[in-house]
Amino acid sequence: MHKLLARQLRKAAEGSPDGTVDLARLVAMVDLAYDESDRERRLKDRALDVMQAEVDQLSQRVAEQAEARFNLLMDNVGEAVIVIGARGHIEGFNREAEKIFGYVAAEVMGRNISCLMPSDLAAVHDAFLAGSKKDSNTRVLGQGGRELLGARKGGEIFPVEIAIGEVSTGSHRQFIGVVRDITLRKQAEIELRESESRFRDLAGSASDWFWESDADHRLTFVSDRIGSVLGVKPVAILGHTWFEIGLDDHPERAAAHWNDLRSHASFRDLVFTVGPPDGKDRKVIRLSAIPMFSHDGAFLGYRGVGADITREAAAVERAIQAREQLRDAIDSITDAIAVYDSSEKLVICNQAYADTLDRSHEFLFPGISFEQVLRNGHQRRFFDIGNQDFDEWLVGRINRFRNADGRSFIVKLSGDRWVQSRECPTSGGGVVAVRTDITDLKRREEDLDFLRRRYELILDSAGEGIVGLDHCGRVTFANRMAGEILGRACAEMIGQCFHCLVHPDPLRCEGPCPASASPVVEAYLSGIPGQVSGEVVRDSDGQTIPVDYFVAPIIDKDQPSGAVLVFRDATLRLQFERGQEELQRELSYLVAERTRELQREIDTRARTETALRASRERLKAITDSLFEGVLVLDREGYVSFANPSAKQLLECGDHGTDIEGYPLDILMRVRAPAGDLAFKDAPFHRVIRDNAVFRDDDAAFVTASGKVFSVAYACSPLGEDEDKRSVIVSFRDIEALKKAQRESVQASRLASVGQLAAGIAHEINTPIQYVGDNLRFINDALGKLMLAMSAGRELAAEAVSHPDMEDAVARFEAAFRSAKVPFLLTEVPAAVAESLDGVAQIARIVLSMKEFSHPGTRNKTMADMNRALDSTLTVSRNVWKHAAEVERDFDLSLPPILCYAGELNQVFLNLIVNAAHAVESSGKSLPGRITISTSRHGDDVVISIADSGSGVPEAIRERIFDPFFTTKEVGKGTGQGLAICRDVVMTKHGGSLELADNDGGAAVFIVRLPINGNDEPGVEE
Amino acid sequence: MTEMLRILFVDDEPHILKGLRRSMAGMDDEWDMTFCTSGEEALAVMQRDATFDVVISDMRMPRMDGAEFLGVVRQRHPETIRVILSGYAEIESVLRTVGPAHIYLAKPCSAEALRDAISRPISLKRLLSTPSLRSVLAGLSNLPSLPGLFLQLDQELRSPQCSAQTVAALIDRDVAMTAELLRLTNSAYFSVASPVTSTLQVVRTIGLETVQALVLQIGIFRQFAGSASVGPILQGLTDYSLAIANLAEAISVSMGTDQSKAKAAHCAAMLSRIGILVLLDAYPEVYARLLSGGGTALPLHQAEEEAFGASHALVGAYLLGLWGFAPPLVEAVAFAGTPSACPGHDNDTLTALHAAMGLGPALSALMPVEIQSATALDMAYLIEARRDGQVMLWRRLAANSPGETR
Repeated sequence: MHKLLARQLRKAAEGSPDGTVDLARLVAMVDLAYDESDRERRLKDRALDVMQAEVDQLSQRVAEQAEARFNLLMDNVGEAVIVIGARGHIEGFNREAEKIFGYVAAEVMGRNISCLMPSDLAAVHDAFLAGSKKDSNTRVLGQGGRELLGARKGGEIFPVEIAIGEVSTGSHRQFIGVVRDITLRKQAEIELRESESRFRDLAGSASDWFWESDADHRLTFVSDRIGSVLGVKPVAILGHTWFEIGLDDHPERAAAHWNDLRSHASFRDLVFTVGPPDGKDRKVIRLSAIPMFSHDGAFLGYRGVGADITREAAAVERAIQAREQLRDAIDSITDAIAVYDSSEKLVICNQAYADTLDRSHEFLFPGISFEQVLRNGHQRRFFDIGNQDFDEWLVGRINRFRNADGRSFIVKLSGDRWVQSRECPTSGGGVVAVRTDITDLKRREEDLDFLRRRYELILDSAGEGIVGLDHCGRVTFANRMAGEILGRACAEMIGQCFHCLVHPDPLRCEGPCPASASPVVEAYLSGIPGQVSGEVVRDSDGQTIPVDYFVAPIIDKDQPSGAVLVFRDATLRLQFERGQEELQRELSYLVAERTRELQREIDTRARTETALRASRERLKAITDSLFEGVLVLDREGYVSFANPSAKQLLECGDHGTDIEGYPLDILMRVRAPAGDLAFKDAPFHRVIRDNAVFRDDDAAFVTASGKVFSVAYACSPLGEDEDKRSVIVSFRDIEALKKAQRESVQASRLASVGQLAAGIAHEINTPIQYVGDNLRFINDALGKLMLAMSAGRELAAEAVSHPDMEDAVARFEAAFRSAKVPFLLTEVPAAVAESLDGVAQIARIVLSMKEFSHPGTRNKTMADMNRALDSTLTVSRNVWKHAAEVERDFDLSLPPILCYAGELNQVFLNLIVNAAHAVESSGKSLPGRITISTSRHGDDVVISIADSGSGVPEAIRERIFDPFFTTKEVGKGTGQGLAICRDVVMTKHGGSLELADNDGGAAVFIVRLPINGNDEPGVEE
Repeated sequence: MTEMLRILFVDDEPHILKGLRRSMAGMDDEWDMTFCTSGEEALAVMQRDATFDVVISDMRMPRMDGAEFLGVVRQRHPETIRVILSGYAEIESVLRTVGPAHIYLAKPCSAEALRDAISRPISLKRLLSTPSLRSVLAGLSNLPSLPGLFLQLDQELRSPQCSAQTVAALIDRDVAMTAELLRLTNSAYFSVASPVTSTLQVVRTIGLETVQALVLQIGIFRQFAGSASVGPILQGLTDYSLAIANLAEAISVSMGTDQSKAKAAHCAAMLSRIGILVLLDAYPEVYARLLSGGGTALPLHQAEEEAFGASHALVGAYLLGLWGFAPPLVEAVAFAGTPSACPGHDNDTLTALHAAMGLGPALSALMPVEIQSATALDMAYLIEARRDGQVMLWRRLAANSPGETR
């Protein structure tokens, strides 16, 4: 019973006290068990399905991996591997195969293998294959490999070694052929065979001889052959030793040989020369021998062979020489060269190779294997293998070495160095490796690349189409714009004939289009730079558009080797030009019309201008020569014209400056009572506004420097239109005139004062004369009356005693008393004397007046300064008498000086009046003091007039001699006084007038006058 | 009892006349004074009573002014001394009196000044005892100048380039002009501080314009217009005067005098022979004959005294005195040939002039004269004057000074 059933039975029996099975319960349990069993089976089935799928997948992956690995293997294997299907079609073709046969894998896949064979072999193979189909056990080519012939893509026949293996996977049968190009080996083999045959010939021609020697090494036997070799009869040399025959000529070898002989050793290849040195018969011989012993072991001598190796030795020598020469030769080559033998061992290398790989000469010796060279190189970090694994790289590298094919490849070395390598197989199975350092080349290439990229960028950003052409007119490059204009991709154009590309009717030529094809072609073939117009067809829409070409030829060695074409869409330009042309035509018509008109105008104008120029020149000459200043001012007050006199008068002439274009206000103003007027307020502006003439014969201008000068000026408007109207101002400096006027006014005033004074003098002098006379008479008379009076009193004194006279005496006495006669007698003489003094004083004043008003003379006269000062003081007494006391400190021996006395009197009067005013206004207690002194200093008379005032303030000292400067109240002074004084003293007398400091800060004016002044008439100024 | 001086005062202002009479009352015993209030009245008085010694007139008077009045007086009564007493300062009127008036006085004039002015010609009168000669001298309006020089001066004064120096240089070469201008300049009108003695000073003092006015308008100079034979005498006299003048100035300088004294000596010498000019002008034929010898063996001054009652030295001195020249100069001219006759010995001008005359060129050396005219050096005078020691020096000066031989 099933264990499950037993358990179910037990369970069904549980609960029953008697151990009976509850059947219903059992059935339920069994039913449940079946259900469960069914479920389990279903689960298992499903798990199996999943597992099956996974297994399939896995195997699929494994297969794929295997194939990939196979393919990888195929591609990396050093030999050509071709997989051939059962019916002879190619199913696999690795990279090496591609290399050998020249086909790309895709080209031969699926084709019959016979395509890789020469035609005759292919026919055999096809027949063979046809047979083999019937018999599946057909013997294929053996495993050991066979030499056959192959055919490259180009048709070239070459020897190959083929090994074929068969692979069967089920029904699928495949053959794997491993093919090796044995062209080189075959050649080597041929060469080897040739050299072997040569050697056989040589060996045949060579001849040895036999010889025996005794214990003393003397020859006992020589075969006849030696005669033909050494040219001696054999008997001739018997009894001699080899030493005697020639070995002694080589002492070292002889010595070594002796050692062999003594030890009775065998020897080989003892080489020495026989015969006279440099002689034609000189031979090189080689001896080998073994010692001979008797059976009892006694040395008997030697037995050996000899050979004439003269030619052989020469060959060896030549070989050595050649080797040396080779070494020298390869050393002289800058490229690194090394030769490896068939076992990949280094045979020879030149210095450059050694330097390239092993600079310190540590390992690169003949005999080292190539792999070791690589390993040592890598250890020294010689190669730059990037991130590649070294072992992987090593495998690849050695593989390449083993398959040396003479093609160059590039190896990158550390330190950014590059070498170009070429490994060529030699006939002996070795490899010749050539390495050229191309670091510089590589760098240049990189630079070039960089430049090219940059130029491309530049070219692409150009707004014109730019294409480069080679000497045949084929496009070598084209920029983006060229592509756009032509409606083509740039890359597509490269290599195509440009003319054929763009011409609407292309020649479809392969090479240079004839120059006659189009002007553009002609231009770029000619090698002459220039500009051509042409048309191009746009590929995108087939439209023809006009372009302008700029052709720049590329000249290489005086020959045009190509050109650069720059072209631009000329549509707009042409449109513009057409428009321009129309305009031009219209314009030229108008111009012609206008020219005729103008010609008439010009004729008229030329005449007018000539006249105008003449008149302008005349005007300029006139204004230049005018003594008057002439200014033209515009309505803004800017000077538009100024003649030389104007510049000079306005103090601009000295510097040669142009004042035209400057505002008048910076040059001058017009003086007016209320203040100086700028242009806007001056009459000039009014003239422009009112268009009316203005004239002022007595005005004053103030220049920029502050100089005031009197002018007479007239302004008149210039131009009708008020907006453009200017004003012409002509002005004349009347300063001299004014001065003369002032002076003449002054002079005439003085003259009339003088005349008046003379008249008054006469009028006064007449009464003075008789008043004086009368007073003197009274004085005289008084004396006489006193005598008479005293006589009368004496009479009265005597008569008083006479009785009859008593009354009369009394009356006399009474009259005497009432008349206060004694008083009269003392006072009257005094009164008369004082009156005489007064009369004398009046007379002096009148005389002073007369002298002071000295008539003006044209010439200087001699005058006494003391007298001049005296009379001036006298006439001015009224001014100073209340202000100051005058102290005269005169040098009485002062000589008269030559002068204008009347004018000097005026000077002194001015100075005295000023002194008096200075004292009055000083605020000091009155009366002050005025001290006037005269003295002689050399040829000068010095007059000083000092006051006790408060002096002249520092600030105005510079200006007190300026005209119109006054410190006095308005109306009290003209401001001319000191200026006139200075003019009189300095200009008219050549003297000086200075202000100095008196004691106590008061002023003193010092006049200095030359005694013998120039008495010529005053120079008119 | 000396003869009373007859003096006539003319003034249109009665107060002046009364005052003069009162102030001159003290001179009553010496002067016989007459007073007139107009020129006409005065002329009438003079007509009636011809002999007035001095006429003193105001300048400015109605109808006939002083200049006109004195001009008439000069013509009618040449011997009368004519004085102007004027308070008027107008130059033209003053200049007009230069010819007619001998003396110019300005109002107010003190009694003393008036008395001196009147006394001066009276005292001179004693020098010249011949009334006829006195009337000749007093009647002189001016003296003749060298004709060529006169024209030259005339031209120079009209020229615009005229200057004080050029004018003075011309005047210097003429005795008459020099005398006239010095007289005018030293007169009261110009009231100079110290006497002017050189022509350059004259021109500078009175001014070139005044000189021009005097020469060209007033005509104070007169060119000689006598017989042709007198011309060379006039020229020789001028040359002689210039030579003597230069020597006298040099001698004066050698005496250690100041510049003004030296100039005074020059001036005195220049005018020393002015008497010859006067006589030659007044009596051309007589004097010319006298100079040429005229059969007499007498020396010049004695021949002159015999012929005219006075030597040319006295005539010159009288004239110069009349014209108001300084007394030392007048004295020097008067006693130049006979210094011992001079009352004093301290007149340096006289000494220098005498020495120059004694040592310089003889009058006959430069003038066509036959008469003995040499001046002997008066050693007695020089000893008195204590100048005898310098004679040797003066001789050398004379020898070195070339006479003016123009």
